[in-house]
Amino acid sequence: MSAHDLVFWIFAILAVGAAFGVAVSPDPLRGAILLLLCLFSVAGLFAWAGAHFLAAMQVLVYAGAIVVLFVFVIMLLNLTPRELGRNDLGGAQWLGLGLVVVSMVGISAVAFNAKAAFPTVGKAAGAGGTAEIGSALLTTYAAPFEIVSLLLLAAMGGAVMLVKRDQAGATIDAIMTIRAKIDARTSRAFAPDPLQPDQHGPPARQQAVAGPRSGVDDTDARKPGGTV
Amino acid sequence: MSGLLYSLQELVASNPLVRAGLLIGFSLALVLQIVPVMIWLERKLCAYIQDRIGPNRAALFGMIRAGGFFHTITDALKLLTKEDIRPVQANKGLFLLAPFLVVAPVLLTVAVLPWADDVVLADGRRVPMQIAQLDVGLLYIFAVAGLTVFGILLAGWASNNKYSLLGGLRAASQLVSYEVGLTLAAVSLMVTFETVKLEQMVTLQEGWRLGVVFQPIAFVIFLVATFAESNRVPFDLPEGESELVAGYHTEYTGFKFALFMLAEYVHMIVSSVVIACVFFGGWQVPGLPTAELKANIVPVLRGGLVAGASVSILLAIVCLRRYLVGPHRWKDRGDLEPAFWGTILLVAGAVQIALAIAGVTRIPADAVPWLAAFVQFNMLMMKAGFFLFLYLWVRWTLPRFRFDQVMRLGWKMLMPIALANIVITAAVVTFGGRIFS
Repeated sequence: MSAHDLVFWIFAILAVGAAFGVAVSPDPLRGAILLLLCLFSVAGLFAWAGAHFLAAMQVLVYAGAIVVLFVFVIMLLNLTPRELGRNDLGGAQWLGLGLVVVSMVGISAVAFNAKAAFPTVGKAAGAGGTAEIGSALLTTYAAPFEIVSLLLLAAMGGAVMLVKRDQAGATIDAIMTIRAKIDARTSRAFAPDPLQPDQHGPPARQQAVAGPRSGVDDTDARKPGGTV
Repeated sequence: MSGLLYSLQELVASNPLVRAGLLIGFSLALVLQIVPVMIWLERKLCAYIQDRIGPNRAALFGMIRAGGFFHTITDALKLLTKEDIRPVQANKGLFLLAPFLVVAPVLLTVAVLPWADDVVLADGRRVPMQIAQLDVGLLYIFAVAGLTVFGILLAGWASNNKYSLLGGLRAASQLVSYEVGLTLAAVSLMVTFETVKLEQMVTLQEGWRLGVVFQPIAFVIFLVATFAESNRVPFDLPEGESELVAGYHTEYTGFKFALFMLAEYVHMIVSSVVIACVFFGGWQVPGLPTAELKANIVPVLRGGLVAGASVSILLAIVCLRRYLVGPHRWKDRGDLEPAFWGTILLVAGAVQIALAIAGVTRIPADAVPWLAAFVQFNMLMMKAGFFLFLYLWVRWTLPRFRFDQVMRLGWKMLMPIALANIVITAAVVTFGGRIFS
């Protein structure tokens, strides 16, 4: 295995491993970070194949913009593990792993038994270069390119309409409804502690994170002869 | 000696990995050495702008204060040896990962900065003075620099502190907003130069045909957006101390905090070099293309040495005069310091004059391209140095924006102007003829 192949295998294993991690990760933020690693590894594969422009775009658009949005939403919602609930896929992740292994074995079998070699993408042909992609997009594929840009423009207009001031209220209401549902579920699952009579509604968020610590302090204070 | 130099030149020219390795070492050493100087300048400049004297206590042998430069070194030592505190409720792994995610992408962007023109050896081989001549050039810088957002967001979130989280969210929304303006300004530049490669952009700006002449609006947008990207005043809301304690690095201490500082300063240095490269001709000596520079290397070196000598001697006179007729205000060995620096500067000036008269008369032909590269590198450093100074100057002159003002400037002013600029540039290039070709 040459050094060239080694680079491919490193990125390939990283990409597949990180993708699997995204699927099974119980913590959404960890999942987002693994997704970043996965996209980055795919960018590495593009760069390895000589498609530098594609690699740069992968990092710029997917890693630099889309995953940032995911992380943003995860942080703004900031759900505690209790609110997230159990990450029970009912064995679906193992089914997924099985499917991945089967399809990988299938693709590998086809690839290794192929009569003709795969066409080499790369530097020799000059494909994947910024100039080639640019001229192809604006000459041969000008019509699809313009249609896609029109679609993106429409989506952008839609996004602007969604957050316009008179509609923003409805959006915020929707978010608050979801929030209330989550809180209701949490409070049902965790009935108020009779030892703490002052509890109203769901437990405070900070206590949920802090775990046993605050509770211990409270009970200690109520014990006869406890230090206050 | 010369045999050794020839074998080194042969090694560099024949082995791209050795060349890249040497350049990586050189670039990182350069960038990381500028950081303490910048911190020192920041304090000293801030002091002068606010009519103070600034740091000047730390001294070597009780005498050499060097205008407070040792404060920076003692600071670095302090940060290295301070206790490394991790909040109990912080997310362990992410808290540790975040500073590295901030500093690594910034250091990676150094890879495509062209320090000088390709050195052409006698046998026609070219040695690029750039770690990697990528096909994507400027896009690489945007792509990689954009990844610092994750480090900042994670630092804010993992600290488990409301101020940190708010700082992280502010930093991220600011970075994402200004990246739009920055990239759109770069698009109009790419249309003007008809390339995305940084080294080609610099090569095209021969003589006085500078990028800023053809793209003044893009220059302004670029400058504002890079200020916002590096979280400097007037865009330092993510760490606005009056509202958020210290923003996303509130909970960080010691070396991890130093990494955040390092990332900020390296980002400033890289941005300055990029601005110098795309708008002010990078390593191009104004009016002297590489071929002419090589032909006139002796007068150029002489001129540079004479200029250096006159600056040295002028400063020496100032220092010595301060010692001879000065106030001697410390009443200790510190009073001797002006004499110390004055003597060194006088000797340096004398050496430069001696070199200008006797040293540069006979230059071996093989050394000419390397000396030309050296001159070009100094030119780039002078241009970038001006923008580094501008960063400091603005920081201690302008007040901070409000957050809604930052967002309005980014989305409602810079982005539409940048879009209009692209349309105008494209129209001019299509109907009025190409600018650089």
